[in-house]
Amino acid sequence: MKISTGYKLTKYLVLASLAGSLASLLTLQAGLGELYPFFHWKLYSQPLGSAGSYTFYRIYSRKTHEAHYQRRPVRATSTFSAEEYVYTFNDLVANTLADTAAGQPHRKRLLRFIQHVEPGADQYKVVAEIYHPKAPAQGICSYDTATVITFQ
Amino acid sequence: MPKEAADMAGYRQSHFNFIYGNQALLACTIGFILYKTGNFFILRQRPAELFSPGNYFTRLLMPALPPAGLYVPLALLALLCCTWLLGHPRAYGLRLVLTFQLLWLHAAQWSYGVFSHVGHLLLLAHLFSVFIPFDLARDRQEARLIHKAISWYYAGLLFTYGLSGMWKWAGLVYKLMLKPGDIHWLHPDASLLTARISFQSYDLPFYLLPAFSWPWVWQAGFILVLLVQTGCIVAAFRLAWRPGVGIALIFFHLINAVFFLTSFVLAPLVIACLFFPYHALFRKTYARFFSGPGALARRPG
Repeated sequence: MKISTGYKLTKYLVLASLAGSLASLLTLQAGLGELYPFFHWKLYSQPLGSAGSYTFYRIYSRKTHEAHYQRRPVRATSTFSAEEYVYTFNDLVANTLADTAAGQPHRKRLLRFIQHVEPGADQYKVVAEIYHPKAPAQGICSYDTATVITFQ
Repeated sequence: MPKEAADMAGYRQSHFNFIYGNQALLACTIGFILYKTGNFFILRQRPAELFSPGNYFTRLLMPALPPAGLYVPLALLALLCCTWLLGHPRAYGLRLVLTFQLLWLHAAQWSYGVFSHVGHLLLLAHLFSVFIPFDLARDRQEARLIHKAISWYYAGLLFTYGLSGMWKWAGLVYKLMLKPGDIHWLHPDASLLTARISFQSYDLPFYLLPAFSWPWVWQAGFILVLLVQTGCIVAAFRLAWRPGVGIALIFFHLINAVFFLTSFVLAPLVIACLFFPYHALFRKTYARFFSGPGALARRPG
């Protein structure tokens, strides 16, 4: 390959990638999905909790003979690292809450994920834990809870 | 030194560092492929229903988790490609093949939730290198074209950080102008709050409170991050900036990993491979690379 050809192809390839990245921002906003996968660089554009509250989702479970649900903290398992657990779980919860499709496929996947990472319980639910950090230096341990998804 | 001689020295330094950087990238990629293969066997233990490609790209590449009988041979093929390219960097077609192989190997992990930022820099580093000439220039014009191609390569990679920086600028201006009551990145509590929430996300005890005793350090740090991210693309066109920008970006990833539990492992490795000043480490090799024994064999034609 000629050197001049290599230079031109490299330049056009990079420009096409940049254009794809910028186009993906627009197609995603328009609900058309990601045109080009290498575009998602909107990371930490705001501090977490910047709007005054922050919501975590957690698995709560109980066996049939137990009176109360127990909170199951995030943990690494044999097949999910702690990071993968959080990302996968949050994605499944968000999709389940938005799911209006017949059969609710995301709900079934969410339950399968929960049963996989927290086996052994008879009943599960997903609880939103809503923190209102007023004084971050004093900690953000208190929170409100709201059950968002139950599995019967 | 006359300008033409200085320019030529710069072109050669850029090309030498790129060639060695690409070798380091290939070596790093061998480790990546081995890791991905091991990770594949962990993914196979997950319930099959959880495999759900999130966009058309992954649906096209990998509509279902492949059997080991397909994944392992393809991973092995990618390993062979990497190894061959280490000794034969001018196999341009094979570079393109390797890029698609890596994309395919990575698609498995992308199909269990939102991982849109994982592995991108490594994949882009391979994609943008496909057409860059590995032949040595015969004259100043060819040397200049090779240097320009390498500059575009770095521009493509650093654009990712530049765009991230632009989002931060936009976010800051939006908050300051439209929602001044909210916490923005220049607020004294911003970094501490983000760190606490990050640790809480993983139900981990927060033990880093003493590190946030001087909020002004974190506020100044955010300004520095903004400047580094939005300004780093200059390093694509200013050779002397590359090692410093590389160190700054790696440091930025380390801070994120330690204080905000946002771990990018591949990205800092790729940066270390591609921004290291190899000409300063391998001085004797550099001195005879363009005119010593073997240089003739690396010229085109």
